Amino acid sequence: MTLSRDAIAGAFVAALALGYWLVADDIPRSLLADAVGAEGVPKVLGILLGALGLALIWRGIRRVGERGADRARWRVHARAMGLLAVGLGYIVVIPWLGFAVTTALLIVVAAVYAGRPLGRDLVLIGAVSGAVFWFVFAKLLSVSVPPGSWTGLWMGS
Amino acid sequence: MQAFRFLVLTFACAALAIGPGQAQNKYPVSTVTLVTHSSPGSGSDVFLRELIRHLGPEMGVSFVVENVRGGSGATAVAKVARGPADGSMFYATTPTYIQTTLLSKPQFGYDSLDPLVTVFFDPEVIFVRTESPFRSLKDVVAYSQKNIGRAKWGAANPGSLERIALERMSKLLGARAAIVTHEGGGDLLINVLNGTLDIGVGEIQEVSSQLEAKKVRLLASLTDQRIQTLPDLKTAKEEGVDLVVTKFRGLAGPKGVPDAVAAQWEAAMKKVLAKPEYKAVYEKENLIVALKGRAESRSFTTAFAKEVETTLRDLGVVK
Amino acid sequence: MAWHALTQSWAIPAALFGVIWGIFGGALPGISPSIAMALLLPFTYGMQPVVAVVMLAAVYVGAEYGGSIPAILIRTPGTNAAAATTIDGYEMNRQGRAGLALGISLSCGLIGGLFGLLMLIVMTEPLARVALAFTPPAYFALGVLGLSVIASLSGGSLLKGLIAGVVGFMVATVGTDPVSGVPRFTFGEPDLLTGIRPILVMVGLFAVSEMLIQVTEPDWTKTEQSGMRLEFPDWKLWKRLVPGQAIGCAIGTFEGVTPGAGGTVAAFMTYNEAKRWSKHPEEFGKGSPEGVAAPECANNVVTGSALVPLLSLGIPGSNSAAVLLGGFLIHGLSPGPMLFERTPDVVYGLYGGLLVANALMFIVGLIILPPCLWLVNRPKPYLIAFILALIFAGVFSIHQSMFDIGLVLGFGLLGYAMRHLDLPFLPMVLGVVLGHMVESNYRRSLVLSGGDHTIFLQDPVSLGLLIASIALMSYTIVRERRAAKQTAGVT
Repeated sequence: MTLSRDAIAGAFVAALALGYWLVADDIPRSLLADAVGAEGVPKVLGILLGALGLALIWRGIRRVGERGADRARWRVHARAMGLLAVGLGYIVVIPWLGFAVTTALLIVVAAVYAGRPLGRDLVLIGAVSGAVFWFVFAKLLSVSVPPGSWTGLWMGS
Repeated sequence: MQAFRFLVLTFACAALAIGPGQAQNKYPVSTVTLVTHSSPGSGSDVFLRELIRHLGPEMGVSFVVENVRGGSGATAVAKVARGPADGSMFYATTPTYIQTTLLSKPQFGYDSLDPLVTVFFDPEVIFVRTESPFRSLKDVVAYSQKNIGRAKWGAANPGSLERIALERMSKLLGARAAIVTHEGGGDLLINVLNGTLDIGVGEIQEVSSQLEAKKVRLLASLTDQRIQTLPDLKTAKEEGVDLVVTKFRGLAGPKGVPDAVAAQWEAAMKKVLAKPEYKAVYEKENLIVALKGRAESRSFTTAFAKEVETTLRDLGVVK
Repeated sequence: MAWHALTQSWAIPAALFGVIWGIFGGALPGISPSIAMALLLPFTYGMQPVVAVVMLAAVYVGAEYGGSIPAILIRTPGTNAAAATTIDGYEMNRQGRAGLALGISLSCGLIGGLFGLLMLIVMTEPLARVALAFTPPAYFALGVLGLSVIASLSGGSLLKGLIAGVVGFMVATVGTDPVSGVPRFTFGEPDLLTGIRPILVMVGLFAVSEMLIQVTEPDWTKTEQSGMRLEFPDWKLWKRLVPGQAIGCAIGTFEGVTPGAGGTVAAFMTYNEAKRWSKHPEEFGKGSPEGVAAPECANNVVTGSALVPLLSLGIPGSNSAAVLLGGFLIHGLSPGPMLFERTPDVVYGLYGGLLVANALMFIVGLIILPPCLWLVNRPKPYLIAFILALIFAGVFSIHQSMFDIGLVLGFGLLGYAMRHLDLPFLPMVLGVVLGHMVESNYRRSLVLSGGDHTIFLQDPVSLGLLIASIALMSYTIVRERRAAKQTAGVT
C-alpha cells in the first residue's frame, strides 16, 4: 500500500505540532507575564496545528491511491539536497577562506553541480565574480565580511 | 557614475575632518574601531558618531563606527572580546549588553569585556499627553491608589529597565496597575497620545519633538537629582516615589588593554566634555555627564549587573 | 521652494543614485528596502540634510519597485511586499508574457508611487489622525483582517492553507516574548532573541527552494522571443487594470498610514479585493494582468503614505521608515509636529525628491529591464550559482551573521518539502508577517482590559474591522466552494 501524499504531510505536521507544544510547555513562567502568558498563544497554536495535521491524515487515508507518493523520486531529492549541502559548505568554509574566495568557490561549485562542465571559462568567471562581490559588499557598502584566517597567516600576524 | 564619485568625495571629506590632529600624548594606534550593536541612525549610533567628531582631533586618532547587529548585542560583544587588546577596538556599552548576557547566557557575556570609561547617563522621564488630567506625579499616585487595578502605564520594551521600574512602582504603591509593553518607543508614544495609557516612561529624547510641539507633558524624572537642563521638573523621589532608573553609555574593551590607554581615554573624555561645541550637543539631548574612569567603571558595571540580575530573578524572568 | 532646494544641491544625482541602488537592492533576494537604505545610511553623514533624506527616500521607492522584477522572472520576491506579485507575475512569465508583466509592474508602480506622494502632501493631517486612532484592540483586529486573506490564498485546499498559516504564525512566536520578555523557542541562541525576520523566511521558502527544484530539472525551454521584449499595456487592457489600481491606492494608503505590516499586507489584501471585484476573477492565479497591476500599485502607494506617521508624529511605522528617521536624526532634524515649522525646506525638498525619484524609477526601469530579461535567459547552471551567491551575500549583509544564512537554508529545505507535499507558501508568509502583531496586540489589549475580551467589541475601529474580516472570509469560502463544485461538475 502506498501512503498518499496528504497522509505523509499530515504526519509531518502533527509531529511538528507535538514538538512545538512540548517546547512551548517548557517556556519558563515569569512574574512579569500576563494572564495569557508567554506560553499561552503558542500552546493554542500547537493544539490547532495538531488538529489540522490529524484532519489531513484522515483525508489522506480516505483517499488512498488517489495520488500515490512518489516512489522512485529519492534520486531527485538527493540531487536537491546536494545543492543544499553546497550551501552549508559555504557557511563552514567562509571563516577560513574569507568572503571573496568562498564566493568564487560557491559560484564554481554550484555551477558545476548544476551541470556546467568545469573549464577555464568557469574558473575565470568565478574568480572575477568573487572579486566583484568583494568590491561591492566589502568596499562600496562597507559590510564587514569575514577576511578569512589565511590572510592573517599571509600577513604574518 | 557622477553620483557615485560625489559619494566618494563626501566620504573622503568626512574622513579628513576627523583625521589626526596634534596630541601631546601619542595614542598607540592610528585607527580605533568603535563597535555598536545598534543599527545606523538609532540613538546610540548617532551618539557615537557625534562623539567621535569631537574626540578625533583631541586624541589624534581617526575613528570608525561599526554596526554589528544581531543577537541583541551578543554578536558585537563577541567580536570585541576576541578583538585586539591594543586599544584599537572598543564596544559602546548600554544596559542592553548586561541584560542580554543575563537573559540568554551567550558564550561571550558582559564579563568577557573590561569596562574602559562611563560617559553619560540617559535621564528617564514619566510623561502624559497634554489633554491628560494628571498635572503631577502626585495625581498619578493618588488616582492609582484610589482605583486599584485600573491604572494603565506603558513602557517601550518588555524586558527593559523602564518596564521593571514600573513594576516596582506598582508594587511600591500597591496599585496593581496594568503595565503595557510595546515594540519600541514609537508604539508607546501612540498609545499615550491617543489616551489608551495614563502615563508612559521613556528616554527624554524619544518624546522631545512631541514635547516641543506641546503634545506631551513631563511629570517627573527618574533620576537622583533634577536634570540640569530642566530645572523645573521634579524627580520622582521628590514626589514621594523612590524610583531611579540608570541608563548608562560608555565604552568597554577586550581584556588586557593597557592601563595607560585607559588613562588617555579618561583624560581626552574630560577635555571633550568641557568643549562648548560638544556641550551644546549633549545638553540639547539632556544627557547627564557621568564620567567614570576605568576602576570606577569596573565596580559600577559589576554592581549594576548584580542589581539587574537580582531584580530579574525576583521577578522570575531568569532562573 | 522645493524646486530651489533640489536644483541647488546634489539632490537630483543623489536621487538617481538612490533609485538605482534601491532597484538593485530590492531585486536582490535577501536585501529588503530597509536593509538597502541602512547600507547607504553611513554614506549620508557628510551630505546636506535634504540630499541625504532624498537619497534614502529614493532608495525606498526604488526598492519597493525592484522587488517585483525577480518575483516575475524567477518566482522569487525580492522584497516581502512583492510576494503577492509572484502568483500571477510568474504565471505570465511562463506563458511567455514576461515583458508585459514587467511593463505592467513598472507603470503601475509609478502610478502607485505618485498617488502615495499625493496623499502624503495633501492628506497628512487627517491621515495622521487615522494613525492615532489605532489602539491595541484595533491593531489586533487589523491583523485578523490580514489573516482572513488566507482563505483565498490557499490554492484550493482551505485545510492546507490553514496549516501553512499556523506554521507561519509559529515562526513569528520565536524570540523575546512581547509581554513578559522571556525568550521563547530560542534554544539559547542569541541570534534568535530578536525573532526571525520575515525576509529570511521569504528568501528561503521562495528563492532557495526554487533553486533546489531547478537543479533537479532539465534546462528550461527558451521563452519565445516575443515575450522577451518589454511591453506596456494597450488602452483596452489599461482600462481593465484601472479598478484593481484604484483598490490598491485605497488599501495602500490605509495600510501605509497604520504602523504595522505595511506594504506586504497591503499587496495581499489588494490582490484579494481586486480578484473579488474583477470581471474576470477566474483568470487570477493563471496569469491575470490585473493580478500584477493591483498589488504592485498598492505596495508603491505605501512608499508615500508610510511617511505620514514619520513626518507628522515622528513615529516610524515600518523598518524602512525607521532607517529614514535615522537619516533625519543624523543631521540633527527631529521629525514630528515641529518639522514643518522648523525646517520646511527639508520637507518640501523631500516631496520634490520623491516626485523626481518616482520619475527616475520609471526611466531606470526602462533601461534595466531589457538586460534583466536577457540575464534570466542565460544557461541555468550560471543562474543557480549566481542567485545563491547573491542571496548569501545579501543575507549576510543584514546582520553579518552566518546563522542567518543557516536559517535561510533551513527554510529552503522546508519550502522544498512544502512544494512536494502541496502545501501553499503564501498563507505561511501572511502568518509570519502578521503573527507577532496579532499576538502582541491581543495580549496587550487583555492587559488593558484586565482580561475582559469584550474590549475588542467596545473599540469601534476594532469592531468594524472584525466584522469586515468575518464577512470577507465567509464570502470567499462560499465562492471557492461554488467554484470547486462547478469545476467538479465540468470534469
